[in-house]
Amino acid sequence: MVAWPVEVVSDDGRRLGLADALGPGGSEVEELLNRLLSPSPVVGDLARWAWLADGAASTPVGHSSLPLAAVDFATGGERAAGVDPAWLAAVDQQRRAPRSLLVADGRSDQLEAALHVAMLLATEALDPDDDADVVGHVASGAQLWLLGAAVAWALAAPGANPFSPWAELATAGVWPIGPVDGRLVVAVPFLRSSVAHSASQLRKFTMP
Amino acid sequence: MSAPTVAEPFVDEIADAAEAHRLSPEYVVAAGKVIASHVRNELAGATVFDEPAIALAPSPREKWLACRIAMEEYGHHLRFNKLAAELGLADPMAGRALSVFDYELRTWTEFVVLKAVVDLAEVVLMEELEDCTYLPLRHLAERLLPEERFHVSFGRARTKELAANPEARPEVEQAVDALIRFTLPFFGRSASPNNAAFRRWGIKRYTNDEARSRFIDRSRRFVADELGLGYPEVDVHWNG
Repeated sequence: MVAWPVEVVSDDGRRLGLADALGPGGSEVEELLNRLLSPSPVVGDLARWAWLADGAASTPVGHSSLPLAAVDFATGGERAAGVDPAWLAAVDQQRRAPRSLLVADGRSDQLEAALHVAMLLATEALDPDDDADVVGHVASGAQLWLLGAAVAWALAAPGANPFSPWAELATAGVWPIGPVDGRLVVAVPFLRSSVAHSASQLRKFTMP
Repeated sequence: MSAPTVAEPFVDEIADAAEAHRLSPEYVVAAGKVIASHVRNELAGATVFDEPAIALAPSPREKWLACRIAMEEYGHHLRFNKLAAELGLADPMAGRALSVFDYELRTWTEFVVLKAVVDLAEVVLMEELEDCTYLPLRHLAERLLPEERFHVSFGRARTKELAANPEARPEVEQAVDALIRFTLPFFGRSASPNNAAFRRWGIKRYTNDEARSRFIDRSRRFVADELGLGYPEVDVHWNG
């Protein structure tokens, strides 16, 4: 529905790229959406597991020292109900923070435009293959939730975006879930237990 | 070509907006009214119901599901809006959204019942469009129906869980009663010149009362058979 890259026509008739149209932080938004539309898969590349671990530990509300648990999506769907509610409330509060900053700065139009384009692209890009897949919908919803926050923060605080690491994981198809029973859970697409058992480096990152 | 009638409606397939305009201004108006209605109501639904539900969700899993559903509903609005633009509609947002969107969502229970009930009405209306003579509208309905059915199945599953909980059951019953009554006008007035035009041109097949009746039957089966609740006294006729 939205062709990429997006071109914007300004009020005075000039044609601008999205980054320029969004003002400060616009290039960060554009880069995020570029990664969304040209994702680098995680599974199959062992070097990416370290990237995944580091990214997951950089949660939107600060560094987590909990042991990482990389699980498949079905398991992630089960674990999602058990996310620490206090942690989630803190993330929600963090999500809402940039809106008031941007409105106070007179940039609510840029925020709405950025969210509009991002959500249009992301809703398509993260569409579950199976329309009846509940876990797929939960995962996609979580990824959209994170991406929306990352877009708002990119405009409000470019270069200091607390949602950037988790949004990056989401663009790679990973579903960062959160702290559940003392572990930091992330769901990885196409992860199967046979894959986890075949590489010793992965064992410390997976739950049995 | 003689003018179509309700008894002998137009049955040819119209491939695109250009062909619609070549056929008849009345056809364009008929298709346009149905499309414009969906443009307004999908946006109203996403704004009034789905987005607030994200904050009401009781768990992360439910929150993220609500987020996905809200995005899909907003996407539906945009897709219908694209159809409206292709057909050359002046301002599809100019009319008023249905009165059901005056409902103030206050709880998660209301939201899940709403998905089970109000989205079922949407499914009933969209299923009718699967036979629409205006192919872009038919194809869009075919494309969106699986998503709408997911929304209904989500609502049903959650409503059943809540209805099985003695503490939550009274609120479910109250929400079912209120939302069914709210949804009935969704199908339009019993005596509707617009509906007659829709049927003449093969945009729709059913009278508003027939569509409303289908909704009542299907929602009654859910409420009575699956939830074990009483179904409110309703009238298949509605004239405002």
